Amino acid sequence: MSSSKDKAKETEKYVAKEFKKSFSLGVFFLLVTLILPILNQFAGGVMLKKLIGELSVTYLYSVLLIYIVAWIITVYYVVRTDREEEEH
Amino acid sequence: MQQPIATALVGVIVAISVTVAFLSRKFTRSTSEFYVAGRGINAIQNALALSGDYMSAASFLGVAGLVWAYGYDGIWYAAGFFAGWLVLLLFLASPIRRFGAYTIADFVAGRFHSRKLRIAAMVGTLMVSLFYIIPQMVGAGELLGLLLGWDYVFAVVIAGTLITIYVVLGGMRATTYNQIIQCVLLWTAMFVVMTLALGKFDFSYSQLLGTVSEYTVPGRWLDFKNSFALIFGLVLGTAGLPHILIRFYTNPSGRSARWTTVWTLLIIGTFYMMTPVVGLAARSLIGDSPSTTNLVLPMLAQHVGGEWMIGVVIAGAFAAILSTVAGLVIASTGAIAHDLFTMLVPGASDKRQVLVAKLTSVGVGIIAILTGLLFRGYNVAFLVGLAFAIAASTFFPVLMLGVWWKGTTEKGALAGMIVGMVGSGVMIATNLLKVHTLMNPSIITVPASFLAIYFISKFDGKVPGDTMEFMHKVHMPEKVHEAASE
Repeated sequence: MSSSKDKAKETEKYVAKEFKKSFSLGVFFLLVTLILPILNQFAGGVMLKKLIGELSVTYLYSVLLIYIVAWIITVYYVVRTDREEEEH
Repeated sequence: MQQPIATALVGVIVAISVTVAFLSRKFTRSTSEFYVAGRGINAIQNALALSGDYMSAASFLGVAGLVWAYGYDGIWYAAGFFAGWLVLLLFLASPIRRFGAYTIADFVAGRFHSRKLRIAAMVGTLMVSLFYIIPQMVGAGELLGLLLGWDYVFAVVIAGTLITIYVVLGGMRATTYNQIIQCVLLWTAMFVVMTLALGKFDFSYSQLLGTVSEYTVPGRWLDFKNSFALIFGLVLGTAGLPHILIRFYTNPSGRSARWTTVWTLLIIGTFYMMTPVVGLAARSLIGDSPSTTNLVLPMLAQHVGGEWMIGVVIAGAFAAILSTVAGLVIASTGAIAHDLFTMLVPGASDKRQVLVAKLTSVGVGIIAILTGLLFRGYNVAFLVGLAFAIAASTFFPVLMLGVWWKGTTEKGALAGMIVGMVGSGVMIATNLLKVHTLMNPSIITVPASFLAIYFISKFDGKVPGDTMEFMHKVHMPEKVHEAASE
């Protein structure tokens, strides 16, 4: 009985830790993505500013920044999760 | 317009697809082989197959066409199609694989021990898959019809028949190998067109944008409300697409499922980064010539590379359609032949289940052909966007809370799925009838589904007795399970 309780406790603890990690990374990425239409709407002047030649802030954001942020989060998450599973 | 090179290249794809299916036919003798390729597909193979599965006619033809037509607003589709994968990785990829079933209905029914949920998931799978199949078949008919001179009906029938043959012959394994080949082909086709198009601007992205500067600002098509709703729907919809989720079952482990997503993000990310270049180059180089958004890419290819390039692009588009529809046929077949049949005929032998699966695939193939004929002329990327909205509303909330919240109950899950499915269907229909202007309803129906699950579960309180066992199974690392079984 106590061993099944211990197992449940251990699972609960592990799930909470995993959720915290996924949730914080997920919310960060959703913010990065969903804030773009908001910035276009309410900070149009800054977003349309040309940054590199004809490439504006909003253009670079949508065709480059979202991708780079996603790749960084992906590699960070997978490498960290692999390590944690190994250490568990 | 007759294109002998394109016709020959399409012929080569047909020959390769059928040969792969023929060689894989011995791998369809069990349900495990037919639906999940014996769970023996490694991460890189799976990433290529997933990318082929995911990058449909909407991605290959539709996104470039929308960028050509609306400029910046079309880029939302590329960013949204890509961004959804991260949500899938962070919240669902490993748990879904560790559960180890065949379909989404298996997953929700297994979590809540509920026939009602199995039926709801089956209906949801069919609804999403159908919405997704329609634009692919429309794309096949338009593309082959207009560019190869084939009759629209003939083109749809040929594409539908070919897909059905190779799914029936080779099941998930043949579908996987074909999707790998098709992924390489369509990615390469996009890369070559982009390179040739950019060459016309001395390989300067800035110079290209300078020629179409009025198309690089937001607001030509979507207002604030609709651009926000679209990106919201696309990001969450990916994590609810049945034909994508079931591919995670083909991985050998949860760890492998995660690495599959990493490689997939790399492949599709680089692909979607190319689509705005191609769409804007088309705007600059061929102006208003294309008669429909779906033909922008082939016409640009002809402009920058002549007959050979248009051949490569038509072959790439055909590959995109084949790989996606094959994945959708498998998902729909699983919903009917696995979810429904095993519920109606419990204890049916494995051999009988495989036979039913193959017959169902033929039926789904016929439906794909008929819907392709019925919906002629619709915009492919727009229709796929609606499929994402239904997927996001129907499946994402129930999977998310089912996987992460132990307080979810059967009644809560059922309420959430019904709210999401019916709500998104009604919102889409009323938008098409011009009752309201919200084109993508997920921004309302996804939160509504989450709230329905939460409050009904709280009110109900009947949490399944084995919830912690489930949590242990889907969240704990494989080595914990291995140690326990030793």
